[in-house]
Amino acid sequence: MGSNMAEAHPIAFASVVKAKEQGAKVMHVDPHYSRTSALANLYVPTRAGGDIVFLGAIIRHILENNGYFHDYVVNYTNAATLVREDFKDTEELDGLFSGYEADAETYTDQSTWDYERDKDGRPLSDPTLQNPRCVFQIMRRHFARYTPEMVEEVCGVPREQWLQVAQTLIENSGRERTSAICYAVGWTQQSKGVQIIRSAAIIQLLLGNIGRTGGGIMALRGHASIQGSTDIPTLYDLLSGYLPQPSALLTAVPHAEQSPGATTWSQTRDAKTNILSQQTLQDYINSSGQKLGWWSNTPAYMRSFLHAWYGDAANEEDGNCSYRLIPKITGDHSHLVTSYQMLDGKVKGYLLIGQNPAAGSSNSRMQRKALEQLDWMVVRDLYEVESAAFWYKQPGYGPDSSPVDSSKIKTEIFLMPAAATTEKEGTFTNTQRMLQWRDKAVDPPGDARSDLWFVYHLGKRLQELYAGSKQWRDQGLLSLTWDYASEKPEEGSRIVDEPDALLVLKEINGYYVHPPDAKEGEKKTYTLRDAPHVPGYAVLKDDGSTACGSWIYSGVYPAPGKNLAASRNPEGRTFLGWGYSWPANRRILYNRASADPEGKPWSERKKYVWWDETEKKWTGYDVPDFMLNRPPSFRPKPGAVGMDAHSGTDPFIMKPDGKGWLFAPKGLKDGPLPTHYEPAESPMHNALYRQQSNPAAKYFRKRPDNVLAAVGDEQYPIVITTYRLTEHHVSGQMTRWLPWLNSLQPSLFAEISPELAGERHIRHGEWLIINTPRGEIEARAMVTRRMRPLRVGGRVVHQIGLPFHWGFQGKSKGSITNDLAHMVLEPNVSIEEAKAFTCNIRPGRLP
Amino acid sequence: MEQNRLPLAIRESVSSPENVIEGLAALTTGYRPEPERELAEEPSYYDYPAIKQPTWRWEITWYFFFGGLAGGCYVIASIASLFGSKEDRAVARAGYYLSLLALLPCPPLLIKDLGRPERFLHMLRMFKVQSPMSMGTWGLVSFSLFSGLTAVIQGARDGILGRWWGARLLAGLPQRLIALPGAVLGVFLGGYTGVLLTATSVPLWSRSKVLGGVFISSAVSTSSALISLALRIAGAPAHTLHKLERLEWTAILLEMTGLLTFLRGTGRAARPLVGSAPAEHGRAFWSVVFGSGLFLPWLVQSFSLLSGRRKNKKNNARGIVMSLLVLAGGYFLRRTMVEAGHTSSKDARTTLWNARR
Amino acid sequence: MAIEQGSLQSMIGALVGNKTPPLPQQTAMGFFTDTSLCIGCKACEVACKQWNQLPADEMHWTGSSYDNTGALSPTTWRHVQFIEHIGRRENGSNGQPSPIDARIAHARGEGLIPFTPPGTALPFFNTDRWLMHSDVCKHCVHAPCQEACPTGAIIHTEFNTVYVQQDICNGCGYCVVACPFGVIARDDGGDFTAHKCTLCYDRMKDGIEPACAKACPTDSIQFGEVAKLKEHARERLGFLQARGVKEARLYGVDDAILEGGLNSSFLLLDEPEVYNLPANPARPSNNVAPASLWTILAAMILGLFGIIFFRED
Repeated sequence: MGSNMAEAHPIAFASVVKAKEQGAKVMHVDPHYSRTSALANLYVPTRAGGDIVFLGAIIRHILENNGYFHDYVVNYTNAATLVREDFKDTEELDGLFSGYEADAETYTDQSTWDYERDKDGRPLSDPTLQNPRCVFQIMRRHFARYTPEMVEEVCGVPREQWLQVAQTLIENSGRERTSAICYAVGWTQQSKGVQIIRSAAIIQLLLGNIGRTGGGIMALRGHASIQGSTDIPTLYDLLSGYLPQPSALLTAVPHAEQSPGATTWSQTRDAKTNILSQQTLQDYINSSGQKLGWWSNTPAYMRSFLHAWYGDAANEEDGNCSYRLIPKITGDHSHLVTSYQMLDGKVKGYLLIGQNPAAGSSNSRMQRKALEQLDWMVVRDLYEVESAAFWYKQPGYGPDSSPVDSSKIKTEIFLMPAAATTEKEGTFTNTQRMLQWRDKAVDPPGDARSDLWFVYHLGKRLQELYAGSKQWRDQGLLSLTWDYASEKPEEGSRIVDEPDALLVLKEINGYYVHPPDAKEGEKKTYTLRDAPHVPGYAVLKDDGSTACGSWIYSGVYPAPGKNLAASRNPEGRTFLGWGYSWPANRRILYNRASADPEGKPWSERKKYVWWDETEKKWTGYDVPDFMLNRPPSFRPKPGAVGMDAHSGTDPFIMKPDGKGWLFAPKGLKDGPLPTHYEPAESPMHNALYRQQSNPAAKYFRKRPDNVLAAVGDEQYPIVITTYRLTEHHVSGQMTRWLPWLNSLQPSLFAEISPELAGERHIRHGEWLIINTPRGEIEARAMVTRRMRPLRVGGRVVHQIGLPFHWGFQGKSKGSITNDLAHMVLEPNVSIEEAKAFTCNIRPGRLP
Repeated sequence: MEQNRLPLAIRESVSSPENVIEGLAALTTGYRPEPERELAEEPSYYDYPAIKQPTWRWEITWYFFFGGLAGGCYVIASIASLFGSKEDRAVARAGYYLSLLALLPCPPLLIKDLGRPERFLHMLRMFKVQSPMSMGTWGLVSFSLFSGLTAVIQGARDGILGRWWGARLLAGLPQRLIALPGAVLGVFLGGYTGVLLTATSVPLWSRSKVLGGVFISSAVSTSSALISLALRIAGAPAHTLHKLERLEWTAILLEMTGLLTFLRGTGRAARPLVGSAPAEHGRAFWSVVFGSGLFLPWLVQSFSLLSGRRKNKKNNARGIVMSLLVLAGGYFLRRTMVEAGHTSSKDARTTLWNARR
Repeated sequence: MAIEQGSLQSMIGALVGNKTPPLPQQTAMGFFTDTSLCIGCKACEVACKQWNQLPADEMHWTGSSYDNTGALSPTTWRHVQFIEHIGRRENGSNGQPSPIDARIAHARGEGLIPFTPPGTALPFFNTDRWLMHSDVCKHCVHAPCQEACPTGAIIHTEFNTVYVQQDICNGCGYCVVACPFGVIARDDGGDFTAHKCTLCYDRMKDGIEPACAKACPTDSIQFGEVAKLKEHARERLGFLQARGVKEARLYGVDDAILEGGLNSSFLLLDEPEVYNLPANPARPSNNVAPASLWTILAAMILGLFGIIFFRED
């Protein structure tokens, strides 16, 4: 669901095909019949944007028909945990949870979502699942209105088809069998994307499919190493290893954290502004770290991280000095919000590395306007992509058809040629969290250089430029440890100043700052080059004796000459000798859950990790995701903190309570349980609640450049979704320059059903115009039965689908599909809603 | 079915040329297109051609025509020389000269038709019985020797080469003996082109197996016409012309029989040759090839042959026109056949129908 | 056209000698293209073009589903077809509700949907189909192109694959009309000789599988010893039919096609014609004998009459 896996991830889909050969059932629920559907045992057409109703009805079906895996649910999830009495569900508030502040358009008070706790702060629970305030019963009430009838009404899916999906999932889950759910941007690019994924997580927890072989939820990432770019992130709100970026401004604080039973250590807040302080390292740890569960290691990971970045500076004032050097976020600095800032002239410079907002980002026409407001921009790419050319070229259709007046655009653009993947070395971290090292095959042509080269030398030059500055704001840059130069140039390469990628990997892996077995007094301090590697994150300390660039990657390079990302042993049941999966080369997370509470495998067939009574430790086919020597019978002492607070039957070690969260008491900005909201643009009113669309999403309704169609607007009656083709990659910035690929898919087309084509007098192969309040584009009409009208809300709703690979640069040109999309953002991760919005179509071409 | 179609075909025929062609096509092939049923019942892949189009163009058409003349003239000349009277020597003389004359453009045409003309000698790397193209090359090469030699002997005897000893030696060579294998090769050259087309996957060419017979008949009919034409211009005995006319009449009859057999045997796949659609060649086929190229001369000849044995009376003008018509018909036979082969190869449904044996 | 450098030597060489002895016969190698595994990614097309350094096709949007290639050509040796059969067999075959639908309907009629309704077994493929098929040279055991070739440019290699020797071919075009599958063609936009899939002869000689098979993510394209591939093909057919894929069938695995079968065989999910494949094409070389007989017959009739007419006196 939400994924066109065969087309966007053909290599990964090979595994699905193989599984199908061995008897697995493949079901595909999607608005358009794609190459993925062609291979599926079952294809279910659905309306884009109705996912939570479809999944919610499955949850209801599981709950009402005892379809859940009882022992798993009772022991490993928070189904039995009680929620505070003052929590109000959407059932009571017609689509809202308690704590919503209408003026702020967000949940400013999430305290009521917390567990009911005893005086020690431990959550109360009812293992019989009968207490009306336990999560299980709350869920039953919450999902009661997600009926099969509602699936028909909202998704346009006949209930029999939906039931086939539900039953197949249930029958293929449990002790003996497991099911996996794969999703991609079909889910995430919606104004409620995180909650759709939460729905899938709830299903998988109820069915006992997490932490077990053949189970799980697989997030299919958009391109090579996108997983890597969240692990060691390009995101504004994360440091590496999912440590939050320190913030100077935290709003929406759950009051729960002030209560005596708070899950964090303690916290300070500004009495006047009621804002959490993260001004010191201790503040940061207090508010971001957790007292219970694995995140209680935050101090060690953060301190080691600071040391990797700032070296010796990290040792002063117990790390506080270096902590102050880290820039603090002051709001939403995500890509799309930054575009708005740019439009308003608040952003002066822009560095684009492999990104193409002028064609690839939502509401691209607005993006191009935003780029015009910059003073300067650096574009690093393989070719002169749309974002580098917008100042003298525009799409050439519709409102942009007149020639660009370059003299009116002040942006100064520097296009830097980048090396392709075969021209540089480094690692990829893909969907399965596996780091795989790849070697360089050839030198990049001309002045093209690797991104590592660029960033390294940019840093070097900036440090030279600011050398000697006493300004505090420059100290962060000047203090960075920035010594990755190769000791000798690569043999046979004409590039003599390429940095040493292995040295970077060493810093990421972590190293000892002082000898681990040093006696008191004799303290030798190592540098990155001569330091011994740390063997893994278990040895990281919060006293400044270790450095580690990303704790989750620690262990990938445990000793000189032992780069595990480059290991290529294709043998074994779980291929532990192939590449390196973080954390600790673990292939399945939370794999303690593959054994029952006593530590015995749920079934012989699905045996994976279990408790070895004779050896007194956890063992199995994978690296156990648990305290190796903690027996299943272990029970924590009252008041225990850190990992000691977890019993031997708590597989979800990252969570403070060690349970899988059916109900999320904290961490989400739009509610503890998934709730169906219509997309920001929808042909129908929300059939379930009065609340039409996600109350916490960021709509930017007042912006003239992001006009939204009204609900059920007859001017825009057609649902539109976008997707990828195998033949091209994202905005085509790499693929539309290759004649071989261009001839395979030479033109933008819109897939429309014969019924809609008939209504609008559009003929197959001819042109049509698609318009939304944001823009108009033209495409070829592909009239195909792979798109079909759905009966939704008592009437026929048409859907069309478009790939979004084209632009005005490259050897194959075409309209920019993203010109149509709006920029309403999901509240948790600020992702646009490009997979479900509305449009209109008519035959013809644009002038 | 057949009975039902017949009156309809005739009824439709009277209204327009398209209908005449369609009527003739349906009558001769026994097939009437049913586009709707075929579209619904016969699968194909978006009507993309199921086989490739031939690479052959006008060079091949002319080669087929000249090759037929070269072989046919030689054969007729040899028959005249071996079995005819003294008066018939004129036929042999004209035949041998014309044979060589017709042969001359053949190699350049063939070489030009190659994708890589400079590699034409590669044709002689193999002697492959399976491949009519290979056999044809060898046939052409060997025939050239005989045709050339025979013509040279003829030239020597006619005193064209002068009176020196070499010419006398050549004139003394046993022309009639040489003509025996030469005539066999002549038959080969006149007919193998039909076999060459038959041994392909193009439905029009390959479905019926009689194309070689049609081509050899056409070779003889056009050659007779050519020799008659030459003799009429040069002035030859009426008796000899009469013999040629009878041979021509027989050849045309055989050719028409062969063509009708071909059309019936090819059935649906013959549409590109006889149909009236834009890419089909029925107009040229029925008018120039079958009408004025075969049927009309045959009728006229039948009439003249039946109207008594007036051997000495010559009607040069009519004879010359008839010869020209036969020659044009012979050329257009090959041209429409080759071009319709292109059309045929583009028709996926018929190609697939043809392969559903 | 300019005569290429040294062509005289090469011609003479080709004619009179410098013949190397034939290479020792190896096990016959070939493809088995299993369309039931194809995901239509076209990696085979691109891998083929890349390895063999073939120019891109013209950029032309055809509207024939996702197939913008159209056909095999002298510069396209793998071609992925897309056949949309959507909404043809709604509710199972014959318009009858499929068993599962009937059972669920029954269960609903009873007023309850039991926890485990009787059977949710799903068919191997959903009722809508989008057939994808990577077409390629069939490497016929009795290859019409090879039989037609007058120069000997087209040979069966030591691996029993059909191969065009580019230095020999003179572009006569006879193979083009001989091939019943529309595979081989003359490159009139390039070097004017005949081209088609070489089964990556250069890679095979080094023991590497062909580029397309290597690139195929789902093993829809399999390369190997023909005998083993055919055995596998039969097993695979049994596997699919046991799973209810009754429309599955093999193409070119037995010896029926061209009296010897194909070294590059296929598993299809519909009639061959749906894929533009001839069901049972004639072997053109078989036409030589009957066509010659008819020609000789006609020649004899005419000769006889000629003799009669000229002997008359």
